[in-house]
Amino acid sequence: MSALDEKTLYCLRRSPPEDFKRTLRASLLQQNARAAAGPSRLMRFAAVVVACIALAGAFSVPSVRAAARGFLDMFRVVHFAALPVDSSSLQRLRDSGLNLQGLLSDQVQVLEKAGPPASYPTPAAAGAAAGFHVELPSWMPVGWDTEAPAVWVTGPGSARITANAARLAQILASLNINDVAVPQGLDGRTATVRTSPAVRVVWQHERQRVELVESPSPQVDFPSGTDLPALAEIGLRIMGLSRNDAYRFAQSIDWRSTLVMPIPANVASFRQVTVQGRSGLLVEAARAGGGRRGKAGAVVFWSDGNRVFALSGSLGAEQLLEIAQTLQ
Amino acid sequence: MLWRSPATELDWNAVFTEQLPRVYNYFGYRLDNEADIQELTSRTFEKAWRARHRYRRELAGFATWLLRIAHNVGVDHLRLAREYAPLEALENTPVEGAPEIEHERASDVARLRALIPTLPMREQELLALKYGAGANNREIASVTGLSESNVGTILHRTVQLLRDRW
Repeated sequence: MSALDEKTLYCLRRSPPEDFKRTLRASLLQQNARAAAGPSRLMRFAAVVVACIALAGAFSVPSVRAAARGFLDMFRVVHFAALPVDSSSLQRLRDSGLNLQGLLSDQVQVLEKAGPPASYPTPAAAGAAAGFHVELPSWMPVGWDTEAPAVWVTGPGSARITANAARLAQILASLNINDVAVPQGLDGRTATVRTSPAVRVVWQHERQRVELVESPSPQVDFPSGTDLPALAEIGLRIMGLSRNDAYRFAQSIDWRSTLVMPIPANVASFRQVTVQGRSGLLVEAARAGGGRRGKAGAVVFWSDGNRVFALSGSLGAEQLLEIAQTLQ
Repeated sequence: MLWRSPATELDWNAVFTEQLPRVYNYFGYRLDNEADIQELTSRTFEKAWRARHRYRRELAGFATWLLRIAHNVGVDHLRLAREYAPLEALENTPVEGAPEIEHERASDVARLRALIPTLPMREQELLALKYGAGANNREIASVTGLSESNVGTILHRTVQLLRDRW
């Protein structure tokens, strides 16, 4: 063994393996694409919920297809409501082997594709592209750099959803749900879902992250006279609610202005909050194992009547709410 | 609220080529598990990639900025994964390392690997930055928050301690 000299102190250095270098380089390139395109887990969850509600709305359209907007009824998000869901019900749905997405996919016609998110250097530039002033928090916790977040814009999109009574009946039969009726004259009725440009702003500080998404409210057009509570009741039964619970919940909600968010009880908790004088919904994801560090992130949703907001992050719920209150 | 444009876009290919060995060897100095070394190296570059819009050329050299990220990644990992090892751990230390290293070098590697964990975490960190990542005292000071003179003093004392135990 040699003496411990300067050269010996460097003896632990070696070249990184070539395959590791190649893999990491490829991964970073993919990360960039995924980071630009992929919202956080809670936001993806919310996006699925919006899609579910939109699809559910399509099945409630009456027999006459509206030709002009004047004959159309409209859904716009003004309120948020949480729907506690037993995760075992969702698991039963998965275990049933029913490919819901496959059953419904050919009933959805994409009219305008939103396209992948585009990166912008500043929120102002993103707002110019999106067509609205991007509201930003005037307060963040100490130590956070608020001046140069990452910003993306997703373009508008629209889709037409056509109802298929036979498919819906198949879904209900597969799940042994035989105490709700598929509305008469459902076939061929359509709903049109329109989404506006959305701006996503991400701030990072060490291992923490805060993400703000804002957009004019998505809009679902459907012929007036639609029995939304009846349709919602079917959707709620599919999600595992009992007949009584589904009926009561369906009747208690204004389905033309409320976005209902199913929340599995074992993975998250929720409460109604007030953000800038408007009612909102705070969802906190539970960390595996619970305990003192039982929360693993939170998201707060609210609307000012025209625009919907979602603020999520690994900060505590109270800090997120404080940030939300300062948007301007 | 005043918004600034991000710094001029770096040549990330050049950055990756130049800095990967430094970060890899920084973790290699602290860890002897190849999977962990690669994992933390990957994590560092992923964080840097995601935060590249926040890099400010006028505030710190890129290498220092990247090492700071690596430092934070490493501190979190090592706090959980490694305890302060007693001197008795030096006995019967198995030889690790690539087979192509000649016998004396292999012995040096093994001996150094066994000695490093016997040091306090701060000293291990400074050694890893200096002799793993190849950082100078100024960079080490910027990454760790110590003064440059303090870095020099601690490193001198630590190397002397290693020599005493060698």
